[in-house]
Amino acid sequence: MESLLPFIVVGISVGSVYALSGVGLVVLYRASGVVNFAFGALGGLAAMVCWQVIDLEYDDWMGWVAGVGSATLLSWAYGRFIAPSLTHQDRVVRAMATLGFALMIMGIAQWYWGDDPRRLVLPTDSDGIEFDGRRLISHTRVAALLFAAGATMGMLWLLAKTPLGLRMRALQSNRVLAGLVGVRVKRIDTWAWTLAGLLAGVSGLFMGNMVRLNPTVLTFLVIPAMAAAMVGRMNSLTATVIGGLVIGVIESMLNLVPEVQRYGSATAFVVAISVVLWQQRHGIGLSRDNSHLE
Amino acid sequence: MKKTTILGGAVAVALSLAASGAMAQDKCGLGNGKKASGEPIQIGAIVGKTGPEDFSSSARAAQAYFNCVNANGGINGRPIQYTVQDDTWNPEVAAQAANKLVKDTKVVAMVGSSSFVECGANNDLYVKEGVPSVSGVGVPRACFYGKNYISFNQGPRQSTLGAAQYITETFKLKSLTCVAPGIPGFGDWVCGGVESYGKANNIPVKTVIFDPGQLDGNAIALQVAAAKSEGVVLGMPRGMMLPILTAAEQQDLGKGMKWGLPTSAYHADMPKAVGKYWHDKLYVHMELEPMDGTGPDNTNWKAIMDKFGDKKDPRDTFSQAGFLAAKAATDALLGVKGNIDRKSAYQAIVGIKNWKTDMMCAPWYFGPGERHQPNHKGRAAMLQKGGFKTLTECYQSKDSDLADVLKLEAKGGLVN
Repeated sequence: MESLLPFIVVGISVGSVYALSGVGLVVLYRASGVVNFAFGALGGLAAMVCWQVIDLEYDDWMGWVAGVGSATLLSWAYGRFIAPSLTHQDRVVRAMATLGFALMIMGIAQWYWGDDPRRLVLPTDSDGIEFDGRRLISHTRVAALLFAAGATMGMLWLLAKTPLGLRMRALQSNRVLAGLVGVRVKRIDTWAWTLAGLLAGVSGLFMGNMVRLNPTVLTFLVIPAMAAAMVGRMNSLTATVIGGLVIGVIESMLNLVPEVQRYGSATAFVVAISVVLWQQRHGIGLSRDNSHLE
Repeated sequence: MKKTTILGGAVAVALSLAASGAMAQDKCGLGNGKKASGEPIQIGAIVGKTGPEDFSSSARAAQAYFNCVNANGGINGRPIQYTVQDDTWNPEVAAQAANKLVKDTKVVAMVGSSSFVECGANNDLYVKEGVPSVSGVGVPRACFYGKNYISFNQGPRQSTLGAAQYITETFKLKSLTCVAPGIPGFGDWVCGGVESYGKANNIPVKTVIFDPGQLDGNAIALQVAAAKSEGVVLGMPRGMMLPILTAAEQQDLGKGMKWGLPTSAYHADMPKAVGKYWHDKLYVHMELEPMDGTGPDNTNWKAIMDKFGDKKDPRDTFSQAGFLAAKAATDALLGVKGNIDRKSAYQAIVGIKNWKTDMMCAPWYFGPGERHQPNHKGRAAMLQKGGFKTLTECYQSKDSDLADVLKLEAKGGLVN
């Protein structure tokens, strides 16, 4: 068990960022019905902008603000100017539009920053929690876990206790009726996109530090995040968090089995497909499909 | 007397400045300053640009060299039309790209390619169609086991072993761990070289093959720590190294272990990217001349990249290799008497032997073998703040897989 513990702890730390990203996907889906494939690309952009600002020798906090701010701003712009024109399109079309958005962000970032070796250093990297006489995980990973927990609780509170959350839930139930009773649909959608951009930006900073500072690699962060969201049926934030953590832990534990170690990245797919099949067998669907009412 | 001395000194300085200025000038092809015209000679390349890592550095350098050739009389007056295709790290795309270049564009040769997938996908096509491929950088095993495919680099197996050899023999290490991505024809092959070296020298080697799609370097660092070896080598592209080195730093694994890296880590931005924790702790194998080397070809490479390349083009080992591939192919084509077509180009390129450059430890040749590995000597350097410090002269790779190559060279005529 002692030899397993480090892998479990490491898996939880990465899984927490998958969970954080999954929460961002679910919040947007619940409010607007859009599956956002651009989540990873926005995170990648945030990490690259942050690195650039710090590399130009501005204070670290300016880099964090610029990085998260750029992802939030871009997501807001998409939600404000592009998403409304697609509202009456099929849900698949809206999802594919975000994929195009992702490829555009990834392409521009890759073109501008290229593939030179670089690294996003956070002040929390230099210290960490020790286990068995040596440092096991950095404080950055602890911060990621705490942020994921905090963001999830914050989103649950927002959805349950605030006027904005009430309107988001109204849109989830029935967009047409919500509009008829005075909910400003576009404004609420834009808020959802803004929140998703904020979470994408923060996830991107953590993943740019913990994984790899490369826009293409970070764009594909959306895959485990999507799998985590599928576990939560694109509806339950709690189940999404559990899904993200489970994927992270399984990925990490597979490193202990040399025969399957090299296939670890398939974990997200396997978990997502298994959960969807299980849900189908038990008659559990995705978050209520309200697209026919739009 | 004093006046004469000062004057003599000034003349000497002026002459040396002129000489260094002349050295820094770009020199290529016919070097006559006349723009080439006429029917273009088609040359192609396939690179893995879009994907986990950008492997286009080699072809970018070849492009710069061919631009220089075209501005200096071309191949006896004919310009080179250089077409580079991106295989997106997909073997099917690589096969389609090669078919297009070989059958539609009708290239006479492939020069400056660099890809994880194209060698395996296209070796048979190149043999069938009689197309020689002078790649800049061969990556997986298939790039060193094709009849028509040859590279200027040593390859990741030799380079990873070169790093392992250096740290083992310098620090008298008694155990090693080799880490590589599980890409078909790559990871097992790369660490296989270190394993065979360990077996021959009674040094236990633990191999860790990881999923290249795996996002977290921490789990890999945990395995490295669990192996408790005295030395670690990372046989992989530099982009994959960084998360592992970051995680290893966070676990403070640089303190008790010696770390060796292949030539992919020999990049000007690496010292800054890895951070000060790793300065003076990472030993890097170099397959070609140090980037700050002052040999004529190395100086020419930098001058041509500055004048004919893009300022964003990397200045790394892979760029050096692409430059050499283009130069060797150009030299061979300039020697063709009569029309340059695929057949004459093949004969000229395959006939290259004893081709000398200051950028390599030994002469380069194509040779008659069923496979090719002319570069098997390199140097070691230490990564330090702001750059690299060369630590050794050229040394031979002790890979048992080189037996056939060394036997062929021993027959004479290829490298002397």
